[in-house]
Amino acid sequence: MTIEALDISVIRGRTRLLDGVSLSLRAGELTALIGPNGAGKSTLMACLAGGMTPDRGTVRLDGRTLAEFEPDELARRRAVLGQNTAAPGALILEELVALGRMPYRRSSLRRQNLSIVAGAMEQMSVTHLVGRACCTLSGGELQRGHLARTAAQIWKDDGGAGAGFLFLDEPTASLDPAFQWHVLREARKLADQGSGVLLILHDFNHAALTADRIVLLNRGSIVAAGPPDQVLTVELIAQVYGIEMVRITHPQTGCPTLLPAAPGPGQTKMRHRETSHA
Amino acid sequence: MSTMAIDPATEGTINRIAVEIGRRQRRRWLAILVMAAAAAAVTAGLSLGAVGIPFVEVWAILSGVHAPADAVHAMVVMDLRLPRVITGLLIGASLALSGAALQGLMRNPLADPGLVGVASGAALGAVAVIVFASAWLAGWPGPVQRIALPLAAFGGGLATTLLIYRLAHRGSHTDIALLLLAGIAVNAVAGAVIGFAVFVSNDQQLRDLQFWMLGSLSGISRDGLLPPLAMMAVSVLGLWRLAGLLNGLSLGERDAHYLGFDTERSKRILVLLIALGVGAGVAVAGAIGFVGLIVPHLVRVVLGTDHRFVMPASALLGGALLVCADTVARLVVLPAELPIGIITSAIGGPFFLMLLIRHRRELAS
Repeated sequence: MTIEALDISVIRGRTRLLDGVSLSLRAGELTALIGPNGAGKSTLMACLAGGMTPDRGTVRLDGRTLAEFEPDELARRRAVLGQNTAAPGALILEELVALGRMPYRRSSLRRQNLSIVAGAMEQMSVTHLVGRACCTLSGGELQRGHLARTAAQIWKDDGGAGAGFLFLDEPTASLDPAFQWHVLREARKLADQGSGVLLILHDFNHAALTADRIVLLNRGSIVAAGPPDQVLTVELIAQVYGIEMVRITHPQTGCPTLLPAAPGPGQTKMRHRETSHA
Repeated sequence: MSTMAIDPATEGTINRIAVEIGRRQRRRWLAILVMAAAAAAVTAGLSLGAVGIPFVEVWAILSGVHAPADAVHAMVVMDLRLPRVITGLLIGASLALSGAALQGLMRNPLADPGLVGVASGAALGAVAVIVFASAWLAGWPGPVQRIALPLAAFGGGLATTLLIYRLAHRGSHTDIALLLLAGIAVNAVAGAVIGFAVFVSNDQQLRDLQFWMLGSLSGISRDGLLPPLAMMAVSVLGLWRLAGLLNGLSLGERDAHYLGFDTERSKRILVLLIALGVGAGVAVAGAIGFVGLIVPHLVRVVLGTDHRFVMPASALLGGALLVCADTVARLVVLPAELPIGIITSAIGGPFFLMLLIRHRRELAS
């Protein structure tokens, strides 16, 4: 299974939100999408997930353009969690997770859907919140509820997690460090079980430790794409973000790890980036 | 199916969710209560009035085993009251469901077909036909004349729904202030046109017009009732079927799309069905306010937000409420009748104020 974007552009007024981006996502692979604010990360994700049609270029899932899929057929093959997704306050958590099984409402049995909802809730550690209304949950608890919903949406029919594609836009936002790593580990596990996962992340080290591949986006174009040690170089980060980092090697995993350089020259560089942006 | 292995921990969670769902579903006795209320309202509506007919006799007449001596009673029940009660049930059901659907579509608990102007738009269409097109319509055969009124009301309701939706919808959310202000504007225009129509109309037209402004079921007769009843039935069944979509829409339009709903197409169908139900209801009985606001709220307090339960319960409760209000309207000022809109507004106005107080903090932001 692959999702393949070929030379896609999104143009709004005079601005090119995406400018000739080509990218393919494969099953079993975890890709991290990084880039400064306004680089076009969410736009690229929406195009790949079929939530937005690019003005130029095509996106294909297993050879068929996304427009050829019925919405519910597409929904059985990919799930999306955007930023600031709403949830009505009175909705009960397991009802929220069960919404992920909507695309299967005509084909699956109630009992089967229920066990998938339960499995997804366990995977995201929210089973102790059964029966709670969304308005009584903390931001992190609600975020994990949404994650369970998207995991349930691409759950295999035979009861195992990990099929289809999962798109998560900053899934670690509003989580404490423990749950940030929990979510990243679960995303990694889903990829190992066979899902194709695309994560939008801001933390370089989160990306380095979980992703097979990192895509660095800036002003609507891909600057670099490849394994973490090729993309997370001090030079590329300085060029794109205008900040100075020091790269060390993680003592246990051997992953590249970026730390902020001692304050000083970095400050002037940051100002430089802001002015060049305007 | 079951080749799938479920580990004990998942089994435990399943059981806890099942218990939780069961706990909520035990509220189904309330569904039975609502059905009983609807049945009681229908019986009361058939039994009470200028001529009181005992409940037992009503049921006997309905089942067709009445004695010949009750011929007048039978006529009152079957020819006068039954069409009125059935119409009341359907209007109440379609107003309540239109309210629930509008609230789901706009993702806002304060949307009501009356408040946001859909009912006024429909009344505008109907008044246009009564006053300005009656002479022209007289040349057409009877069935065309009878369907023209509900169709015009449907058209007016549809145009208004589209207008307010376009106006109040920004990005992924609906601005409640814009929505209610648009409703005020539409209501003002409708008020002006209806006022003008009153001014230029003759006595017969004036009598027809009076109930548009207040809403009343007194004009009901079997004649020409079938087209609007069919329209309301289509609206009620259609909106009920869209309960799943409304659940998906509660996460926002883009997320509903990601969940596999053809959001654009479904939204068009939703708007059409709302306009169809409200338009047909207005064509028959004028603008009856607040039913679409009160009923879904009461239902949600008890049954939660799942539209698969909210929709059927709202339909039943809405129907029961309207039949009760109509029965009261027929009884309080005998031998005259009170317009039913006065009663629903008398209940609905304070209810709306209460909601505003409850949602004050959210609305202020």
